[in-house]
Amino acid sequence: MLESPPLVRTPPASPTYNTHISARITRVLIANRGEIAVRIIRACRELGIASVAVYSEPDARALHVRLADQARLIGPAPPRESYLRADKLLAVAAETGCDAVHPGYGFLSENDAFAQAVNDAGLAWIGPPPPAIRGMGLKVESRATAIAAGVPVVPGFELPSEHGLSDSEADLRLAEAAMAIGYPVLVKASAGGGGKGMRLVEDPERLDEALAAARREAQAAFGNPTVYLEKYIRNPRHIEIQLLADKHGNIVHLGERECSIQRRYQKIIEEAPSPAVSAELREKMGSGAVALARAVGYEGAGTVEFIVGQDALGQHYYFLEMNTRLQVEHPVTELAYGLDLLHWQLRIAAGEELTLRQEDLKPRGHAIECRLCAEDPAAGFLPQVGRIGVYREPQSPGVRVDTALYEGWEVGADYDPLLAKLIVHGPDRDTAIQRAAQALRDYAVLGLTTNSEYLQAILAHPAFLAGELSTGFITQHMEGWAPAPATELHWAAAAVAAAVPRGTAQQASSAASTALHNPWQSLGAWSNV
Amino acid sequence: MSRRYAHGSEERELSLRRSTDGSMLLSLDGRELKLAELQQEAGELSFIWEGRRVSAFVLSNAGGFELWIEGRRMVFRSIEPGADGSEAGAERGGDLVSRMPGKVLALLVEPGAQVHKGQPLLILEAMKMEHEILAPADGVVSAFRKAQGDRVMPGDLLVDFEAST
Repeated sequence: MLESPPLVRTPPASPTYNTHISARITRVLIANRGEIAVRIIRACRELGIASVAVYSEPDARALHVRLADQARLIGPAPPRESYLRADKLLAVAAETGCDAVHPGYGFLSENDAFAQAVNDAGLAWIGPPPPAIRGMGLKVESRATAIAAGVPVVPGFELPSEHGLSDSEADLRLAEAAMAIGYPVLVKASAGGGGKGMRLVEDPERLDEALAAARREAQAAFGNPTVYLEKYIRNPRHIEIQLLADKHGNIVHLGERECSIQRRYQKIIEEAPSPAVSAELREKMGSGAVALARAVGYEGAGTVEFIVGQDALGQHYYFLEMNTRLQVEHPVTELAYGLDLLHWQLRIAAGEELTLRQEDLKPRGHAIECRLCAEDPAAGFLPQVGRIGVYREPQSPGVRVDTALYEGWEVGADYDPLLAKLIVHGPDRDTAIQRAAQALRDYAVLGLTTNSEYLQAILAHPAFLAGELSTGFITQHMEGWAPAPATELHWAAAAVAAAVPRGTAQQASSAASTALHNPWQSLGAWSNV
Repeated sequence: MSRRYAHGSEERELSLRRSTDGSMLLSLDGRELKLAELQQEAGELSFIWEGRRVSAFVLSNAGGFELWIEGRRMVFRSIEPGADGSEAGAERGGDLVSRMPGKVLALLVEPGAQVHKGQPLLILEAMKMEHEILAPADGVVSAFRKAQGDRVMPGDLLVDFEAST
């Protein structure tokens, strides 16, 4: 009889490792959790690199812990006591003999002090050099760099970092600047990203309140309360350029992703290429992004975000910010360009040279990503918690799921509500949309409410189908959305489910046989009463 | 025999029985519908509906079950005979009850304060985002049930509020 394979693999004491990649990287510490940790572990395994996971107490049974070659507990649930503890991460890296650290996205991924500490410990940082993170990570400085590199920016205002003003004097200065820029304005966190610490202010009287809230959120999320102001461009598209840069001065762009479908500045659906970007515009934005990366000595994978506005004079793009890490939505670029960004991150960190040539890089077909989240769109998008009782991934050509979910996993409230990324690829946009819609219908998750139905409603919306996207899409088209009431069909299925004697499902699933059994047997007791 | 189930605010009387020709007959509030080729296995069921096969996954829970059907998650509650269906406390306080697990970040007014409708009373943090709890009407905050830094669970009362009439 065959034994079941062990849950945790022990790393082979290897000459079998390092067959494909420079010997500089043999074992990677993954300073993250969730789907991105799983993604990194799988990429490492493909390249013959060992992986070491870290986890907080509630993540003891998380998928990344189960998949990694080794795993270490680093503290309780709050990120500040676990996933953000640079000292503990470095201790685990030393203790397990890692030679590189992959930060994923979020957490410490854009923390230049941590990147520096990793380098100082003699380990490779799988990301850009610390000065590039610093230069681009502070949105205030990155604007100046963009201007110097000849990339257009949105009008805005920030206080000098050592302004020496009292809080009320600073607020007064910001209020004057907001008037000069013209309302509406955005208050944004200097150290931030992902919408945290961001506030839209339409009425000058609400500015003080927004500044206070944005600073609190920025302090909590990034440990830095500095905020700045920016002119609000109404209903623009959010379009970003993916970059790869090696340690030898080669930089290429991998075209754009359109991420205009956002709710409260959180991206929900992303696609590549953008239905609004011509080859000519792609080249202009792409070469601007490359110039910016060159100006800061960038290495690794990075993204330059733009907003694109449309007026009578045509399309205008403005630099928004640079994310000095892998993005959540990186898979749409991978599918549209047929390459693996994680592999390239690892190869670049190991000192390899880019073999991609700009003139060869053209998008093929169309890719769409939908973010499945534990939130209830019918109840103000409140975060949902619960145990995953039924879990079935869609299986079709061109369908990919990046997730850390499994049946039995307990979704808690300690972290981000992202459950899974469903990414599809098709020969054209229409096919990709159809494929995404069917894959969402086939992606069964029971045990808690998700936003699946809401995602399906967006994909089916005439404006989405027509490619008429903007960051105002959700407010314009999805306000007041509610799930449709149950139909006769749903009640019929409910009647069948109700007729199954209690406990049968559990007994049957634990039994070795999964063959269909005769419904009349289990319904027998019912049909005779 | 039939059972009563609720989906949201809608309730139906459901029963399923075998007809003389062997097919299954569904009764929905007295109307009879035939279900062909009914199959079921562990946590999964399917049948023919208007000419095509429809499949669903089933997850049982204490009060009923939930279905994944045609891309939708639908929750059905069993209505026990004799129960009047009322859910004591569910409506209590409206928005002044926490609807998610999280932490109280800040209390924004003093107990006893006179507040106007829509005024932020406290800030909850859940999943790294801030959520403001607003006054549901003009009125007085009699007391806060939670202090700054307290963890809250869904259903926890946050504020004692008296609307002015």
